[in-house]
Amino acid sequence: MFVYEKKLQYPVRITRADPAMAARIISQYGGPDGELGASLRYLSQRYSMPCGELKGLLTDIGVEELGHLEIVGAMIHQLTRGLCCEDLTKGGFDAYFVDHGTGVHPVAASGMPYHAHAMASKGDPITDLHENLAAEQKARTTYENLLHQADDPDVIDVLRYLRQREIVHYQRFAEGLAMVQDQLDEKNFYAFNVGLSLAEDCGNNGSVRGCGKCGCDD
Amino acid sequence: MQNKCNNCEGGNGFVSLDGGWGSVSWSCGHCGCSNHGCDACSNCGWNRCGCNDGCGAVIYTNNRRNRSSDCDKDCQNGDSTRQNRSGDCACGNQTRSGNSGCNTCGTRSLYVECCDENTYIRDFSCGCSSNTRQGRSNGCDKCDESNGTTYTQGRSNGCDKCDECSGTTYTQGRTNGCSKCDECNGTSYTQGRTNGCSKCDDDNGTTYTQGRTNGCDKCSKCDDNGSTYTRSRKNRGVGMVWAAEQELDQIFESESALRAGTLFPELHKPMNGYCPGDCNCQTCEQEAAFAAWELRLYLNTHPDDKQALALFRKLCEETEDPNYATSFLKDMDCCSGWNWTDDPWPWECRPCGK
Repeated sequence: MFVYEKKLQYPVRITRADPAMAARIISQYGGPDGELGASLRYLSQRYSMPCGELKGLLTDIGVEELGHLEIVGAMIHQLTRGLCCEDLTKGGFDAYFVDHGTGVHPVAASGMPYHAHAMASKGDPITDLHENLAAEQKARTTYENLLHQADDPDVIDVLRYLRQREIVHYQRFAEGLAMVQDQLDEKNFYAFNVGLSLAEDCGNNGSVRGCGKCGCDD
Repeated sequence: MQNKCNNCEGGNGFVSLDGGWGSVSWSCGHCGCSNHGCDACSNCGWNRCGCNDGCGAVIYTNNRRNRSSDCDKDCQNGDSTRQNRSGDCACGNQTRSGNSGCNTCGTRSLYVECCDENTYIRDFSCGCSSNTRQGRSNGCDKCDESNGTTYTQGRSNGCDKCDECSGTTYTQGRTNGCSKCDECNGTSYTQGRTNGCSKCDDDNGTTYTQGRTNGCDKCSKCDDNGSTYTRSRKNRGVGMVWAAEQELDQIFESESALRAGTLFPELHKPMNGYCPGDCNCQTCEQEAAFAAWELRLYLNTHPDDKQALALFRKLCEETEDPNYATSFLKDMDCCSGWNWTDDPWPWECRPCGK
């Protein structure tokens, strides 16, 4: 289940409103490579992982992404506080404002609403871990794109922190992938899907839902 | 095909067949025979089944294939049919022994060339469910166990057994996963084995040999002469990722870690021109909590790292935030290792430990 801790993982203290920037950063809230998609992806993939290490890893990183979603939401909120009327017509924000005011709504910077097409949960641990590696890189690139367009040091500081977290997650997923491949026949990592739970007579070496620990010798 | 017969009753010179054999009609010496489908027995000159026509008081089979001098004699009590006629059938479910051609085994219509276990002589008795031929010239894919030599590789019946007699390393390249490492002489194991048996040599403290295909390249130890670890494995499979090693002795202090975004300098890859700022708005609890969280992610993929575990406990104590500390400490068993990742997980509803 889920417990909420009443603090942000990284502080967000933005003093200068900037709705145009908010309209860009919203992509990390509801865009294809944003934190909502990331957390939903990881929390959904947990169920078909073959060993506890991966279930724990995906749970923890999925939860951290929810924490990042909160940070991004906080940025949007702070960037759209105390706006003057002329700000409401600023390019990039005006369209968003029509539908959402200064509320926070999961859309991409393009206005495309959040959708699950941008995430994959394929039930194959190798596939899912590669998906996650790619997702972290896409998120990193998005933060870099945002950093190129930011000028407020308070905003930059948070974006930089979130970008670094994506790199760390990338590393953890790479380690998770290495754990899975150590479990498999190195001549053919794709011989069978370790996450697929089939009845014994369906092949797949029977049920191979892991021994509980990746890298066990059984 | 109509053979005229001399003594055909009925005057029409033929016996027409009833059932089964289509429009073939036979004439026979003793017309009126209602059995059908017999091939001509050259000795008899008759082509009527079911008749005692001088070929012997036997019943001919319906599907004669060999019309040599002898009639196809049917197995009297079985439904099997002979294909090679060089002797008598043992009828019914029994099969012929010896090297003649009874080709039925129960419901089988072809006999299986089986190997005699000791001599590899083909034994045409049916019911040899194992030891089927694979294409060997001696007709028998069986491993030779008598002389203790290694078996011929490349057999398709999974018969590659490794030689355990001599204590040397096993021949590699076997397809049945039989390559075992030599544990006798204490040297590092031969590389390139396909059964995942390449173990790293722990004894002499050198770096492990690289290029192994079974994921055995662990470089957690330095060479005694201080050289850096070799990192590039050559055979890592298709599409696999190499993850960087992290040294816990090098981690950032908690206060810089939160600002940097990671505890590990190896993972700290800032974008050009964007470095951690000087903001002092974090609290100590946030910093320790972040460091503990980072270690939590690290421990998920390195659950046996004792150093990390000890550091994690220490950071949890520094985190005075009651919400944070208690929820973490509850996940931990203070005496054993990192058990957060233990199965089962709540959605599985399985008994613990399996």
